[in-house]
Parts: sequence; structure tokens; C-alpha cells
Amino acid sequence: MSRAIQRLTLRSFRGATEPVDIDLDTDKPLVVIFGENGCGKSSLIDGIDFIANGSYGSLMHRSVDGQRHPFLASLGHELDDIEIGLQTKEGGAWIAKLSNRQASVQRISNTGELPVVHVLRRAEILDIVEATPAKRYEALGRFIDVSSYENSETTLREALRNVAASLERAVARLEQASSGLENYWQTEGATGQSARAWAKTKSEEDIDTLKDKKATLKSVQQASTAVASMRTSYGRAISQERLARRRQAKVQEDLKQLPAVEGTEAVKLVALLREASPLVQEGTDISKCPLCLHKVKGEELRKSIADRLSALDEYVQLADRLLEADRSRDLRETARKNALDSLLEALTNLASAAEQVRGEMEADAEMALATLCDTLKQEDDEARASFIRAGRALSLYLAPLGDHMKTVAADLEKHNAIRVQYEALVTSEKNARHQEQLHRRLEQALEIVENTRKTFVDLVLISIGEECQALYARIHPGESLGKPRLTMHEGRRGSVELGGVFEDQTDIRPQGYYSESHLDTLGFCVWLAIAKRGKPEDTVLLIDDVFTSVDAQHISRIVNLISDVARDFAQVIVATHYRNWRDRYRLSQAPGLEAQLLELHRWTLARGISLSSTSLAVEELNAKIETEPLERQAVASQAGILLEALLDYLTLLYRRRLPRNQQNEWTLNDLLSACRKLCNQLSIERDAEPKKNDEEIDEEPDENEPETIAQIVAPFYEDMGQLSFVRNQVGCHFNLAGGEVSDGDVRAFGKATSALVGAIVCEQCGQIPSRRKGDHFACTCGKTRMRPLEYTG
Amino acid sequence: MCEAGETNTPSAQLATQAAQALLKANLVREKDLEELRSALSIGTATAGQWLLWVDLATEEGDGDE
Repeated sequence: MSRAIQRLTLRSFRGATEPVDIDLDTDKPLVVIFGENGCGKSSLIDGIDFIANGSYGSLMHRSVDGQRHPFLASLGHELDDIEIGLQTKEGGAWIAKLSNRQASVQRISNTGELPVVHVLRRAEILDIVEATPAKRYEALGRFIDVSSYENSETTLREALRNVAASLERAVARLEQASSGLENYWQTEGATGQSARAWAKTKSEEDIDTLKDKKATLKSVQQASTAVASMRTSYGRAISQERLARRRQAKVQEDLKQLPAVEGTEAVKLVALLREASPLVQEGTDISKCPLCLHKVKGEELRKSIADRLSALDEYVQLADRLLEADRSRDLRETARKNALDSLLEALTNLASAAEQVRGEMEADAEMALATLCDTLKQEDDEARASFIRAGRALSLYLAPLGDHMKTVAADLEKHNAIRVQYEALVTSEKNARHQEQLHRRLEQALEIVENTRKTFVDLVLISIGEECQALYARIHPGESLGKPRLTMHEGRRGSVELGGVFEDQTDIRPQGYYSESHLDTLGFCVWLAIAKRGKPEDTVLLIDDVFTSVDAQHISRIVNLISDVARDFAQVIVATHYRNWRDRYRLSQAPGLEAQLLELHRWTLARGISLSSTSLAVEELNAKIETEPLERQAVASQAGILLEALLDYLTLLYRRRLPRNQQNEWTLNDLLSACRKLCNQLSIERDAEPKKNDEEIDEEPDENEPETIAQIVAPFYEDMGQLSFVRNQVGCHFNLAGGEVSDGDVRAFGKATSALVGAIVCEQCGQIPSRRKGDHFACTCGKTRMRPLEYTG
Repeated sequence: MCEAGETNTPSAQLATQAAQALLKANLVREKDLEELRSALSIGTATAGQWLLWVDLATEEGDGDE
């Protein structure tokens, strides 16, 4: 189904001060809207542009104080009142309103898609032809706009730059690692073929032995340190035990100095009284002494014990001190024994550790170790003392092994340093190689991505250029200019150059040499060629009064060109103030049956935009002939105009002679004289209408040879010629003879003229065959042919 | 060929051509082709993605050697 526009409605939009509903004939590929200036042509075009493209249309090229949107609303209407409706042939329907200064389009039918709408205004022609290459690129952008692709191309360049930077850093690291290793190698004597080979060999050396040695020496050192520490602890424990014993002896001495009490040792008595106190404490029922079982008075006994203890206070304090001294001595003695055990254990460990480095010890150390081992399990005090002495000696003798351990640790550290530097070198080499490879491949990728884009765009531009050349040649055949060519600007993104031919110069800038009308047609051809590249079957072209500077001859070719290309598109809508454009269709000089003709009436504020359909001239004549009562003058005049238009066109087509005059105006008689002999030669051949299914077919039709109907024009011309006087006598002038002409003759003149036109004009497209093709003239649709090509007088 | 959200734009057409050319030059893996084409088409390919695509293709190439 076609996306051709079937109905357009405007509410409060631009010139539509009153609602406008326009029904378009979607069976015809072309719509010609004629209207004098200020009738509302651009409002209609802008309405379609607004709903399809969200564009402000012709307002895009003008503004008041930088604002455009306020002028979208009709005079005296609000922006919120704007409503544009569009329906397509395939059943799609949409409504557009203005919301936040933008077109808000709402779909009101579930079928179809909005047509692709391309609008050509004079301003767009200037964008294409006279604008800067960058502006021209924007105008062509929708067909060659690969900006999305170019965004990704930009990020590819960024990736390449990133990798280049990484590669630079990797090379710097490699040089640093290489230089560091070289220095180290030189410091170490520069043995081997190279620093790298030396480092490789070194870093691959087995260092387990060194590690084991370091561990052994460390254990000896730790054991030796432990012995020293335990020895110190043991010495401290002995001192502390001695001190505790002295304190105990002092208390015992003090005790001996006190007199005995009650025939016993005072301290024992105090102890006894203290132990007895809880047995007779207050609240206990005591009737007998718990010791001697004699009857006692509890209260008295308690008092007696308390009094005696009070009297023995000095003894009580001494007893407490003695108790504390005894406990302290016991603790210190235990601590000394524990310290001794720890020292013995540390010495045992030292002996065990020292055994592993026996070969590296001095003779004295060997002897001390032997003594240590000999006395290891002996329990007597002398052997133990010997054991301790040997251990202390061994510990001292082993002290130099610490230096040995430092040497081993330094060897290990050096090995690690070489290994780390070598690994850094290897890693840097690997990384640099990887970055280099990645950089090279990204360069290849960028080259491919860039070239693909350039080729793509070049091909598109070449294709558009070729199409444009063909179109331009049709409007300007045989002229020494044209051959337009589009190229991307070298080295500048988003710029399109437009070149062409002028006289003997083959690559000029047309804007510097071509006339305004040639530039107009050039811009039109570029625009049309671009539009054909898209999906023309889904595309509606809008041409808004573009050709203001083009002469009649070129307009005729443009009309033919547009009529031809209209069939490729969903629809072509031409708005023009050029009356002859419309009349070419009315008078069959263009394919009038393939175009819907609309005429805009005078715009007023109260009525807004109004329009009506325009019939073909021959249809109007036929209608007038059938009208009762007969409008004699109207029929004679209409037939006369139609006849003059036909004959004038034929004289131009066949270059027939006409009498010269100042105004280049000829009478009907002049034209009749010029065409009489010509019409005797003219013959028309038409393709027959295809037969319907229910019609009987006698013979098998030849697929290559369509059935044709041949017709000579002469009889029709003769019929008309006999009545041509009617035009002057009834249709143009006052004279008495005109009154003598009967209604029948007037009708006959009208019918004869209509028949003559019908005999020549194509029944399918409504055009007089006028295109040279082989041995004949053909109409636009090619179904009607007229011969001969040349008049032979 | 086009994903939802893409249309047959010049960029989309170009993306298809470029993706095929990159694949032919072994600069991208076949399994990354659609992702690459789509990103080229709608202009969302990042520098990081480019590195990844080309790097993975390089690794795959090295593996084949």
C-alpha cells in the first residue's frame, strides 16, 4: 500500500484561520496546487512538513526577534489550538500539535507509517547550491550522514592513541629494565655474553641450599640467643632465691630474741590461739573446752583467748612475717628450678642446632659442643655445672656464625634482585611486543574503517552525481554547462563540494558561473537525485514554489521531468503561483490525467485558506456542451481556447510557419492555416486497453507486440475546420452573423474540437505525445504515439 | 540484520560493510561481529570495546598459529 497523503486537515495553523480539509487523489501520483501569492500554498506545505518532520517549515528561514514558534498559530489563534491531521492511502492517521515548542505527533490509527517527506523550498535550493561545503553536507546529510559510524571511528582513533601511549610507556619501562640490569651486570663483573643471558642464568640457579643454610644458621642463632636469655633468667632466679632465704633467716633470728610465753614458744601459742578462736566464736554453744573437754563458760573462754592474743600482739606480727618469708622462699626456689629447666632445655636446643653446623665451627666451639653433648643427660650437680659452662662457651663461640648468616642472606638478596630485574625485563619485553602488535592491528582496523566510509560516501555521491547529471541534461539539453558532480571535501569532515562544467572548463564551481535560473535547476536536480536514493515508494516530495527565475521553455521541461519522476514516488505535491504550470496539465501539454489540479482562492482573514479542484479544459468543454440551456458563448469560447492551445502546441512541436507580427500573437485562422496540411499527415497509434477476462479471445496475443489501435487525425481536423467560424462569430465578437449560428452548430463545434483533442491526446495520461522517441512522438506514459516526427511539406 | 532501534541508515549500511571487511582481515572474531556491527551502526562503540575486539582477534589468531 502507498503512503500517499489522502487527507490533510489544518486547524489554527499558519494561514488556516478557519479549519481546512483537503482530500488528495491518491490514484494520481502528482498534485499541482496553484495559487497566487498569499493564498496559503506554503501553509499547506508547512503543515505536512510539521507533522512528518516536526519542522517549522518556511519559518525555519525567518524569525522575529529570534522567535519562530509564535507564528505557527494562525492570526488571532492560540498555539494550543494548532492541530494538523494527516491520513494516508494505506490507512495511517496522525494528529500533530505543538507542545513545548515541538511537534507532538499522535498516531490515531494502527496501520501504516508516516511517509518520508522531503520538502524543497527556494531556501533549501540555496542550501544545496550556494551554501558552504559544510552547509551542503548538512543538506545532503540524511543520505550520506554516517555520523553514528564516525562516532565509532573516533573512538577507534582514541583506542589507537591510548595504545600508542601504552606502547610508549612499555618501551620506556623496557629501556629502564634493560638499563638497570645492564648496570647491575657491570657492577657484578659483566660475566657471560650479555646482561640478559647472565641474569637468565643467575635467576635460574638453584637457591634451595642457600635458603636451607640460612634457615639453619638462623636456628643456631635463635638457639644461642635463647640460651643467653635463659642464662640471664636463671641468674636472676638464683639471686632472688638467695634474697628470700636471707629474709626468712632474719625473721627467725628476730623470733629467737623474744621471751617464751606460758611455757611454750610464743609463735606456736599464737598459732594455737588463732586456730582455737573460730571454735569458740560468739554464737557457738560452748559448754566444754574443745581441747581438754573440761566444763567451761563459753563467754569467759572467748574473752580469755582474745585477751591473750592481744597480749601477744608482737608475736602475732612476727608470726605473720615468718609466714610470708617462708612462702616467698618457696616461690623463689620453684622459680629458680624452672629457670634452670628452661636453661637446660635451651642448651639442649643449642646443642641440637649446633650439631647441624659442626663442620663450620672453630675447634673451641667443637670442644664446647662435645662437652655439652657429654653432660647432656647427667644429673649430678657437677656435671650440670659443666653442662652450663659448656653451653655458655658454645654460645660465645657460635657468635661469629651471625656474620656467616649475613653473607648467606646477602647472596640470597642479590639472587632475588637479579631475578626481579630479569623478570621485569622479560615482562616489559612481552608487554611491549603485545602493545606493538595491538597498535599495528588497530592501525589496520582504522585504515579499513576509514576507507570503507570514504568509499561508501564517494559511491553515494557519484551515484547522486550521475543521477543529477541525467536530470540536469533533461532540463538543459545541449547546453554548454552542467554535468554536476558531488565530492567530499578532501581532508575536511562533513563537507561536500559541488562541481560542474561550464564551456570548456570541466571542474568549476557553478555558483561562480551559472545564472540564477541554472543554479535553481541545478539545486533542484541535486535535491531530486538525493530524494531518489532513499525509498521513493515511501516518500512524498513537496515542491514549494521553487522556480521563480526559470523561463517558460525550461519550465516546460521541468514539468515533464516532474511528471515522469512522480511515478517513482508515493506522491509528488507541487505548489506554484505559476499559472502556466497548472494550465499545461489543463490543456494536455502535460499528463493531466495523472495529476490532481487544485486551485487556492484568495485568502481572507475571515475565510482563511480555501481551495477547489480544477478540471481539464476538455472536461470543462464537454460539461458545458451538455449544459441546458446551452451557454453558446461559453462553449464557443472554451472550444476556441482549447483549439488554439492545441494548434499552437503543434506548430511549436513541428516548427510550422506562422505570419510574423510585432506581438508574436496569432489568430485562430493563422494557426488553422499552419496546421491544416500537418494534420493531414498526423496519425495516432494507441495501445489497446487490455481485454477483460469475460471477453472472448480469438487468438493468442503476442506478448512482445501489444495490440494497438491506429487513427488518422485528418477527419477530426476537417470536422472541426468546417465549424471553426463559430468561435469568432459566437465566442469572441459581436456580429449579426453570430445570431444566425444555431445551437446545434455551436454544440457541433464544441464536440468537434473535443473530438480532435481526444484523437491526439493520450487516453491514459492525458498528454499530447510530444517526446521524441525513435520514429515518433510519445506521451509520458508511452501508450500513445504520434507520427511523423517531422512535417514534410 | 538490523536490531530493534536501528534503521537502514547510511551508518547501518556502512557498518555492515566495515564489519565484514574487518572480519576478512582477521581483525575481529566472528563471534564479535554482530556486536561490532551494531555498535558501529548506532555509534556506541567505545575505545575499550575496540581494544577488546582487536585484542581478542589477535589472541585467537595467535592461538591458530
